[in-house]
Amino acid sequence: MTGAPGVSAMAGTSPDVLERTETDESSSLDRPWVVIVWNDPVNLMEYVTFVFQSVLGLPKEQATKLMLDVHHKGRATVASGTRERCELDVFRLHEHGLWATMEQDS
Amino acid sequence: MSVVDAPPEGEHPWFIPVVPPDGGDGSADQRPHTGDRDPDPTHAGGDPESDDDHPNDDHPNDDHPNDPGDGTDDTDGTDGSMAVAPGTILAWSPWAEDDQVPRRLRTAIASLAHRLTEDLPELSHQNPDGGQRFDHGRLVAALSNALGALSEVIDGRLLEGDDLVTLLGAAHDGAVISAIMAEATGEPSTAFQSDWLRRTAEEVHRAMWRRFAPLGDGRFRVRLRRGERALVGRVLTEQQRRLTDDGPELAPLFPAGYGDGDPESAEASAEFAALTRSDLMAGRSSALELVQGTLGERVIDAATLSAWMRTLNDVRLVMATELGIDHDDQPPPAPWDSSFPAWRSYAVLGNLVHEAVLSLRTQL
Repeated sequence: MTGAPGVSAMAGTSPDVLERTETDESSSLDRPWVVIVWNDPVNLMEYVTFVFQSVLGLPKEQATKLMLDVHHKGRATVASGTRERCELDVFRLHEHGLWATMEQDS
Repeated sequence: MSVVDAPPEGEHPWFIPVVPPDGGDGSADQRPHTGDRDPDPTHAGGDPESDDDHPNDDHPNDDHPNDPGDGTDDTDGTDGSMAVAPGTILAWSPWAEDDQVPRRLRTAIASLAHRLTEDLPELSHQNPDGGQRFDHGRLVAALSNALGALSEVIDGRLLEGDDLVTLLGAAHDGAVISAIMAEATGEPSTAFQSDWLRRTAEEVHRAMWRRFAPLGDGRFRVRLRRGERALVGRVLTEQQRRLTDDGPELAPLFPAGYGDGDPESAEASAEFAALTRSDLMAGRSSALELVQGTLGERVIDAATLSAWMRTLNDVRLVMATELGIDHDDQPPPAPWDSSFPAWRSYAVLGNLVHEAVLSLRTQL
């Protein structure tokens, strides 16, 4: 990840999700996957912003905007990319107690 | 999401005695800090409980990284003293992301000094309780002292402990004197300035009290308050039992990985859980053990503070379910409600997480 030294080290171990066999149907292979974070009443706003910065490597302004989207709209798309990349992001967001899911962009 | 929902345990709103000369009940100390500056912020109106500190805690430089969490901190006083050794980088300043505030503080004090000298040459202040009288010269001298001290700390984003004392003294003196000036002139702008200075002093005071303060070398000083170490120890034991039992109460820690609950997503989520759950659980257990192992330490590194942050946040996630917290901005239960003590612990943990974030993000 792109966090500064000392911060990126905090994120714990990587999962072995990358080893999973690809099972996507060929028809949906080209549609990107997105990571969605959902609002919850527990996680603190500053905490969520910090996790977006340290885990997803987002600049503060973007992290803050996405946090406010989650807070006010109930959800926000915080990352997109390959299925493997998104699974890693979801895993690391789960490590930090955020309610994150992924789905294929429609 | 939520914001920090309660004042920290043991933290009372700091009362800075900015009472108009003829207002208030006279019980407040209205003495501007004129003349010799008192380097001990405990004398500037801090938490009254700080007087309970045992003498051994009066030296912040005396870090005992291997100090086994002395329970005495939690029973007979606050955890650590407010006394600040000169030269000790101690606290994250409230201006890590707005380094113009010290400059604005200086501008405000300079303009007060100018007004006091040019426009209010007759202004003096008599304490309403018949105490000390401050003539014009002493008021001007107090502002001049503040300005002189401030000029040395204007630059620098991570302020040293004694800089914070200087800032606190300057903001406090400025707030008191501008309140006197506002009372004499009736100017709303001066009253506004006084209010800003008072709030600035409060910010500095909070910075001095920060539980996790960057030391400037990648490590953090830990200074919990009365009862907090015991509380953390208690919730860690409970959380360890929950992780071992692996019951349904842990559901908030292991959300589904995939989408909107259609059958295909459910299948993918089950597969995702099968691949990640043991890693997530192992990560949580090792983070929890790291916190347990460092509970008594006064200085910790960033990875350890991150483990504190994530573990205590996990505890909050589980406690929230037990407390029935299911929507944003839910009001706390009444103090006589049986769930109030648990909610109180939940709120204190929120403060700990919040302050861990404030400190960790200075290292991003």
